[in-house]
Amino acid sequence: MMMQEAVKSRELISALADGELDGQEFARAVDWIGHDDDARRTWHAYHLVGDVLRAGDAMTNGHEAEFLDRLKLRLAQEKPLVSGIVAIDSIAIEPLFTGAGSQKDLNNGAANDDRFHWKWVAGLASVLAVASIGLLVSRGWDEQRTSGQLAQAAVQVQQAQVASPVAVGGESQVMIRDLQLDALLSAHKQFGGTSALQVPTGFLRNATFEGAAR
Amino acid sequence: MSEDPTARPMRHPPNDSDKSDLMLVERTVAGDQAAFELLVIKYQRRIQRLIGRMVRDVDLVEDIAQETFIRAYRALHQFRGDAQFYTWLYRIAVNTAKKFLLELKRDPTVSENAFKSDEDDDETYRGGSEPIADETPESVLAAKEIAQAVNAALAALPEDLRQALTLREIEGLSYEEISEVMECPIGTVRSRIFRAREAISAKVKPMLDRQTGKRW
Repeated sequence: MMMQEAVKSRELISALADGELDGQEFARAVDWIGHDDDARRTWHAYHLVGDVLRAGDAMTNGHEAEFLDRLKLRLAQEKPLVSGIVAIDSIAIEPLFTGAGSQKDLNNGAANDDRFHWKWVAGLASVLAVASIGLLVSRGWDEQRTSGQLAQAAVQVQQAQVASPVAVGGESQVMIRDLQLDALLSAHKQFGGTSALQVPTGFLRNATFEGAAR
Repeated sequence: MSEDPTARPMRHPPNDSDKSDLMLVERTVAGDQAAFELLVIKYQRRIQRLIGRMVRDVDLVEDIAQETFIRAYRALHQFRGDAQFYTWLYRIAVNTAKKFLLELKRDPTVSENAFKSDEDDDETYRGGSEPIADETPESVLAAKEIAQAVNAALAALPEDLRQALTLREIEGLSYEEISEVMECPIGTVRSRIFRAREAISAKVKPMLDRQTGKRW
């Protein structure tokens, strides 16, 4: 009987090596190899046979068991891998609660289940807390949005006074308008350029740093 | 049968084993370190062989292989199964070996003999005649004996078992595909492959025990 069980388990290992196991069978095979030396030896031998058949070479240096022992020592010093993932198959095979008391707890539910009014109080408090937080957040958000809009409008007006984009020859170029310069040019239009209609444009077209030489 | 078996091109394990690899990774990430050990047993020889092509120093090969698996373990939660697990592990091994070599090159006490050209830094490369760093004459001989025993045991198998195992290991077919080719139920395919492996392993296991002098 034991012999048959062992043969069946080794057949599972063979199927595992081929990626043909799922669920409980997969979990059973992995557990068995993880905790039984003979199973591990079989897992090793099956892969070695596969390597020889594919590559024609055993690729073994004879230190594989020692290599794994060394690695296990190092792995033992590693921090446990943190993950939210819990393997479904491990849940299926490993009981979460092993002690008798734990099992009783699992069946009975929460310790204060019999105090029914606690549920009402806790529920009401949660609803009130959520409602008040929601109210505060929406008020604060409204205020912030109003003040933000005002500030944005002021900035836009100021920018319009300082600079305005002007299309020249089909290309969009930004012409910096200086309010003081505009006032000066309108007072002294002879310095401004003229358009095709011989109307002063009010814009300074040419400027130079050369003074006395001209 | 005069063909030299070492001249065969390297083949990757059949793709269906990728599913097992991914499930083993998920199990490891969920906290089962023993699942990672299964991956180590499966791939350590190939990883050591790969590193052995880049480094001459025998001790260094094993150290780099150890470091490779430790790094892989730490990064395991990042493995999403987009690539094959071995491809992912291979990259870690090559990067780890290169890092080791860079550090060694800065060390004036290490001779140039410790390094090999990494021109053959190719996942599928297998140098036929060049010795690998972690091989001693004894281990080369033992590996040859094991390969011969495997091939002899395969040749001695009944036709249906040999065909099932060959279709699986060499052609990379799934159980379903083999069942179509061999016109038999999937359960029979599973059983035939298992019996073939058992027959070959029965010849190989004593040799492995003699070679290592240590049981798993």
